[in-house]
Amino acid sequence: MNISSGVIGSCLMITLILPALLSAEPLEFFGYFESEFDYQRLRDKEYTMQYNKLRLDLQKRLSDKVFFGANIDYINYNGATEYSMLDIVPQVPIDTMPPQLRWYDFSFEDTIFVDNAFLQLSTDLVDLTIGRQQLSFGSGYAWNPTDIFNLKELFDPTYEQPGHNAIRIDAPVGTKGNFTAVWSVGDRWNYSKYFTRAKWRFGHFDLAASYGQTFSPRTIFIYPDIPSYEDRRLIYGGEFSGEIFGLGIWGEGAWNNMTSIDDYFEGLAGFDYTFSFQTSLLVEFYHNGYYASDMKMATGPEYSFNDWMRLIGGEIKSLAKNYLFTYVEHPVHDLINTGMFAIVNFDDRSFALNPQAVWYPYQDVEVTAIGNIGLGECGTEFGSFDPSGLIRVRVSF
Amino acid sequence: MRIFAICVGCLIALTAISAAEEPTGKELLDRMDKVLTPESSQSTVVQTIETSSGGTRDFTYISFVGDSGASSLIRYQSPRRVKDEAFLMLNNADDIWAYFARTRRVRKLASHARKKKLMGSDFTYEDMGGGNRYREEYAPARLPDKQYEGETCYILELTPLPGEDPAYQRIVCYLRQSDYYPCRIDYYEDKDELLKILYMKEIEVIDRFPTAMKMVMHNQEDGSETIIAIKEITYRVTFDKNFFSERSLKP
Repeated sequence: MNISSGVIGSCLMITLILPALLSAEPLEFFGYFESEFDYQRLRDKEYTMQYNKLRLDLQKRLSDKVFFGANIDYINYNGATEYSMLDIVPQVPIDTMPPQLRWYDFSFEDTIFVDNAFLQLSTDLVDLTIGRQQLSFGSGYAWNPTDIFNLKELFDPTYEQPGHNAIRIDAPVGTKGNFTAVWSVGDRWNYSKYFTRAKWRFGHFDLAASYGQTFSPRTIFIYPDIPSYEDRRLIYGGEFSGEIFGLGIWGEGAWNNMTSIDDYFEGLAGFDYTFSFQTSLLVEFYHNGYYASDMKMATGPEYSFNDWMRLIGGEIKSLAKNYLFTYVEHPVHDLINTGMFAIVNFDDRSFALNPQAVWYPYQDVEVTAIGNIGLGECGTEFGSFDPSGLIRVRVSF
Repeated sequence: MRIFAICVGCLIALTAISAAEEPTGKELLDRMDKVLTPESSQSTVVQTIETSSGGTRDFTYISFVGDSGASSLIRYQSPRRVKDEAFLMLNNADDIWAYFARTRRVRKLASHARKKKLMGSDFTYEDMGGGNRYREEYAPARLPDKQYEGETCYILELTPLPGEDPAYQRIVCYLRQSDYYPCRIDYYEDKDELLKILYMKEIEVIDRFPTAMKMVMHNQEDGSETIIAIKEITYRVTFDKNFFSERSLKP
């Protein structure tokens, strides 16, 4: 079992506020147990993995002005828990690599960690949140160009995001405006992440402008002896959400000022609509100027090993420039919601279909099934993989 | 003879006054709006969904209503799956923000989301939004009175105004003649296709406002039913001037 180093810091934080926690108000305990079974085929080999996750939330309102929240996660992995990256990356780019470089392995290990532990202090003018906390920004559904803290899982974009150590200030301006500032400590002052955002409501639209600093890692995976480095990224972002002609519309974009590579734009626009027969449709178009740099579109729909590794490692958000994400959902029954994601990569002309269903058999129990079918030529982003799927059961308590 | 003439005169005058006092569709709508939308309120509500499989799901939430129903905020207390999830509805539910506690994220929903079922119940966001939405989106007309549960009721029909796209194509309200409070509302998907019936039960006068302590929404299509029971309610609540804002969505 691997106990995260974050436990120590978070335990210290809890110790500091323990006297306050011992006040008369009861500490609330709640959370969920989740068990997920995953199936996938990689290179004609079947892999099955299952995990059990226990999330325990603690919450206490110490007074009108002070709120404490935390959650501890324990995850236990079973089945195929050890992989080589070479099993995941499509065969085509691996064939281009020298054999001595084929050594990237990773494993899923049981873990327990404090995901969030924060204290929120409120005055009439501001809310100050200190500690490990969820931070997510942006109006986009599947991607968030202005969110410098998280990378969304494209096939499960609404799953909860991890906590981040930060100090956050939210200052409401009347009922229509809000100013947010976040600072996340780095190992040196200049290497801290920060993010500011001013939001305002105009008519039926929410508009926001943001500015922040983060660091984008760059690794050359085919030269493992060369250490990766972090490129400073300044973002100048904007977003809106509202409606026009009955359609819900939103947009989000960021100009990224980079230290050692060319600046680039990342943005999206989307709309959604609910029909009177309860079917809802969501469409989002995404453009990323910082896509796989080694992509060889001129010679065929192939990505290099380095591209795939950077995508899997979270160094880049996408392999290609332009994507379309669509989601259709319909409640077929009062206890069952069904839906279908479709993600299109316009550049290599591959796409993924993800049928899903959520069933609520009992109060506080939900069962989710998601499938993944990739279509496209071999070597393309979504056409390189065999079908996969997952079943997840969650019981909240 | 003189007395007879006076009596006839009085009768004619009373008939004329009575005819003049017969409310029109618009007046019925105004009066119903008035009794349904007190300036402000705070309530604790249990929403029970009777599912088509015969089971039940209980949701408890706190509801805050201000600006005569134009602004409202509801925050779920249970079950655990949705604890602390909250919805802010402003401008008669034209603007909706949802707060998702698991991700601590606020997302603006477009007004078409009003048509969605709230937590899988038979109530939509629009049904919960209140305010003067009926007056903005529907044309009122009075239909002949009907007997309902031993009481003569005014019948108010609402049909969409040209250019509007409300969730229902026809709404028929049964209003008590004593106080114009609706005791039943029929919602039609098409002009003649009855979708849902809302029964207002256990009507009590609280702080001078008639209040249905129990509301039952029956879905005619799948037979499911949702019951809203008010556990406690307070009228004339004074909210902070910035209460109905995104800041209040988070616990």
